Amino acid sequence: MQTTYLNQAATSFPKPREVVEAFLAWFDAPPVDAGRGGDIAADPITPCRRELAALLGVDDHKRIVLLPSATYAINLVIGALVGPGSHVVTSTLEHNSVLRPIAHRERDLGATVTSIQPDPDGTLQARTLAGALRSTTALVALTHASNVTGSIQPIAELAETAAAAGVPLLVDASQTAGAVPIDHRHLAGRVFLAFSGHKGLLGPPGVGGLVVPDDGLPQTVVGGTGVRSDAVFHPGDLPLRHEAGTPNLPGIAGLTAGVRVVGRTGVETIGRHRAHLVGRLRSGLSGLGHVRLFPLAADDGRVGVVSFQIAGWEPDEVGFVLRESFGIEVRTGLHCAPHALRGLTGGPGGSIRVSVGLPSSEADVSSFLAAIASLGEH
Amino acid sequence: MAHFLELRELESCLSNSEAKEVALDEPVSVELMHRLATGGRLQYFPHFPRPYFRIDHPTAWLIQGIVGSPKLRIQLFGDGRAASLERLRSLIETPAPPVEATKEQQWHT
Repeated sequence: MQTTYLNQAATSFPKPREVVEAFLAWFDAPPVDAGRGGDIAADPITPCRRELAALLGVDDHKRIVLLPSATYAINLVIGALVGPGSHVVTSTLEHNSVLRPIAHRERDLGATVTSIQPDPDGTLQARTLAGALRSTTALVALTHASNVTGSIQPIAELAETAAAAGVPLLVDASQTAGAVPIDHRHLAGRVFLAFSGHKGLLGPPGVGGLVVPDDGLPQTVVGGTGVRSDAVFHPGDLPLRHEAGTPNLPGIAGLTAGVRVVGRTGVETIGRHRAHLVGRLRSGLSGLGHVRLFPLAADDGRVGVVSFQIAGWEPDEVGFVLRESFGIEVRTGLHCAPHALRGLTGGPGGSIRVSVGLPSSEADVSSFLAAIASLGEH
Repeated sequence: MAHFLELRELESCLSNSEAKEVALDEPVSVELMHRLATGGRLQYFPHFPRPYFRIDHPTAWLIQGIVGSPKLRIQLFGDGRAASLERLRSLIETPAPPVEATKEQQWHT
């Protein structure tokens, strides 16, 4: 049975041919100095930084730190900035990649946490953030878009609010990089932006990164870099400041190709494609009496996520039936964001999340809607 | 007659989930589905591309599967889970003549 893949918010599939070829090509030639201080023409890392800097509106490509994942990037920032007695502001929309590092700082170091809630439309308001800030606030950590509801946050306004209080902002752009325009240079204040390489950027898993606003983030992971081996301490300049160990070179080569596909296609074009498919999904689902669809602003369809429940069916059961009986892959449950649906469901219940991306087609959506309609026929 | 090949825990979003997957050495037949439904409530969806069934046994288990697929997803309930698992294994591995299920045992959809 052919699989209809509608779990693009987890990871994009299928990867563009260019990504697969770039990834595999790395294994066909001897590695040259791991891209550090070696042949410029054979350096796979700097082009990746340049492509990402152009896509994310970053002035200097050296402020793109390449890491194993967005989760790793988020941990770097939280680990460095949230110390004993620190106060952190985050939100109920966050993924565990944000919630858990903060929870560990709370448990282990006595950090305190304020979790702000979105308005009923799913949006975090700047005024809500302003009310949560304290003199001891060391970091604001917020998602750019919920991976559960798809709601896009007014990140420019939130950045202004954090900047006005002199507090750094960490933005989790895992769901938006490659799907929603991001212009880091125009975000006010000290903004760290974590991104995933294998979702909207179409790269392979195992590579992501962090945009850093300056070279002031304390180092938490240090070690070998392939350069300046005679120095006692890890280099302090960007981007090596936060990169230790042999990088994921085939992953970076694949990510570079993915970012080029995104750049060539255009983020706004991709966003329109996603929004169109989300519009079809929402329209189709809203006509089914057994479906409870969670609200979403029309413009937020660019994230590509639709969350819903079905009367008489547990989300996990729907996931099982879609996979095993219909050959459709979606995500069910809490989506690693355990508080995101509480305001909508009134409890810890999960949802069925269908998510589309650049590779998704009209036929995928039609197959999915027909399957969900079938579930109501009893 | 089918046999258990493997039983493995299924991780899910919720820490308290106790779902397991049973791998069988042959696909689930309609006859086996009916046998598993003994004492429980069967919901059967033969109109799906691959026929899905769900069996709720009020005190013992929830079984989900696809007719024609060699695996079952199960959740065991109550204090006697080990005994329930053995009972389930016995139901699967003991050949039994096809039984015409009664209305009380089945709920076909």
